[in-house]
Amino acid sequence: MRAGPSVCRWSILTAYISGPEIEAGKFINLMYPHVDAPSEFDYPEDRLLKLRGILSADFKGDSVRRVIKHGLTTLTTIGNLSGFESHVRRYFGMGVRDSVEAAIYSDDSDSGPFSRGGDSGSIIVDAPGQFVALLTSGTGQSDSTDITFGTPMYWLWDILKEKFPGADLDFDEKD
Amino acid sequence: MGTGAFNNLLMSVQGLIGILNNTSGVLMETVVNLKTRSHGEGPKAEEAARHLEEIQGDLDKMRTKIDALKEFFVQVKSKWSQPKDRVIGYAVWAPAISIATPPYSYTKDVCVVKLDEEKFTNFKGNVLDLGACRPICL
Repeated sequence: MRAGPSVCRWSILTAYISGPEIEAGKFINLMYPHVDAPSEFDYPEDRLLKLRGILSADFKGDSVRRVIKHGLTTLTTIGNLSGFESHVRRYFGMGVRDSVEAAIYSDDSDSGPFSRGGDSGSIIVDAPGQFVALLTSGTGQSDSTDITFGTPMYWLWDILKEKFPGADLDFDEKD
Repeated sequence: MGTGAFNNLLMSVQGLIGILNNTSGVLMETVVNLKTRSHGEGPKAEEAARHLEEIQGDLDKMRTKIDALKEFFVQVKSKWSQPKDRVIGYAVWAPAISIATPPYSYTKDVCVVKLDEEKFTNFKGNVLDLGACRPICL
């Protein structure tokens, strides 16, 4: 097996008990960004979205891109990837720390937050199944999050490739 | 998966079996009731017969589900109870967390885990679970 982050882990067991959180028909509806735009999303029959490729840095400046994550706390949720980066300042007793993050906001007030405390480390992907970002944090308290922040995968993967030159995210069918 | 989470999993499976048993109990009573009403003549008896077929189908599905859950419970309990059975790999690289990592100031918070290939007999590659209905990782 090649080195690389596993995104499968234990979520399958949890989901088996809880059942589907968003029913297939509704899920497809939610993945349409606009009424008049064709969706790039194809709901997989086995409910497992195959991941391939990494969203390139060119997404910056795009309007809206639907993204999905499956986390330990809020399970499967759909959000919108902002075309802008967020400059985040965190306040500590010793001063401030700044970082730049990809920002994801949830659809509307009804759909609940895209993530909550405990969802960190989830992979965020887009409709065609490209890796988008690794979930790091969010605004507000840990019990509710208005905006979710993540580290862009195209940047993170370069760091991992440097350390593990043979690493590959795409597994062939024959593996 | 830690011991607490593992015990929670076992308890939640048991809880679900309990709930389904309750429901199937109610369905069984309905079936008995409808059987009595479907004997006889007239539109009411015919309606009861149709309804009976429907409820019987629901009951059969529920029993299949309960059997599957019981089997799942036995499998998980016998094969995954020991903490060492639940080790699926080890960390090979865990650099210190750095926020504002130059040159783009992103957060670097990663860990690379080498997975034990023998634990992944049904490995499907990288997928995102949209809310699975059946276990595929065991």
